[in-house]
Amino acid sequence: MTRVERSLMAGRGRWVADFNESFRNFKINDVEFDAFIHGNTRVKGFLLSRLFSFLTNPNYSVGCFFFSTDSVRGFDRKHLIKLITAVKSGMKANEMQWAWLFLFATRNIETLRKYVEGVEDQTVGIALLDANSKNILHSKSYLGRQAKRYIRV
Amino acid sequence: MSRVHSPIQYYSLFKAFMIVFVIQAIVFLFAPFIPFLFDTLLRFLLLSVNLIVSAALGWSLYKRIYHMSFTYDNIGFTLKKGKKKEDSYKWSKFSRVSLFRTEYGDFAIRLYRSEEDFFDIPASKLKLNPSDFRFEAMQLVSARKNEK
Repeated sequence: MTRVERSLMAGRGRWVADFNESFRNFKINDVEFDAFIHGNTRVKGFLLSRLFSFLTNPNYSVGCFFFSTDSVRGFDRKHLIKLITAVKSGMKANEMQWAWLFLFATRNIETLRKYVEGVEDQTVGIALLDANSKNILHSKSYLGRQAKRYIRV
Repeated sequence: MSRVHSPIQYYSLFKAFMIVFVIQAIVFLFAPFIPFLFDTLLRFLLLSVNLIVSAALGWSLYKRIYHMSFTYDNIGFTLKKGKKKEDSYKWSKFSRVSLFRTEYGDFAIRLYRSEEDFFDIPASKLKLNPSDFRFEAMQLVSARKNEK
């Protein structure tokens, strides 16, 4: 999780947004996410890059929510829906335009894959990160597909 | 037991050195004795003096303005920058901790008193491992909060 966090804040994640702040044990309603990283699509920099970013990038607030499914016994579709609802609530509270939910797992990958691929919601990108095989599976939404390009387990 | 982190920040030291060096170079450039500087030996001598003075004054400037010293224990911490600026806080004053990346790419530990009010500990500049120190700060903040 720390590696993914670092890759978002200082690595490939910077192609999507300037993820500049990370919270651990972040609570939304009664759901506690392992981490929440937020940022903005308008990247800061020095003169030219700042000007380029101002002219070409939208000013979107974005965020990534991390959750380890191993911490919940018998993680099922209901849990996933609860997490998505919490993410949406967090998006509303922080005025975020884009949000991703990263699920970290070491077991029940096949079951989780079905849950994730079955999500029709287009507003949240969902990615399942298999910590054993280092594979990344994602939901069908545009944001979900994009997640795979910018993170590494 | 309190822990002290006070590493030399080489970038700041270089900056202090360059400030003094450039000021001296400008002074020499506009000095009235400039025609005498065509003598190679004299030019080399002046450059050497310039470098030695820059090193000495640069070190002094660095210590006075830029050098950071961070001391902490289970109760609180003190961040001292240069000779004058000193911030001391108790961990119990803070409620939330985050890892923050500045626009220069450095990592800092951000301690929140409220939603808008926070204090940054420049972990990268203090050569602390930002990720590890974030967890340590989280523990210290939550331990103090539970004691309240």
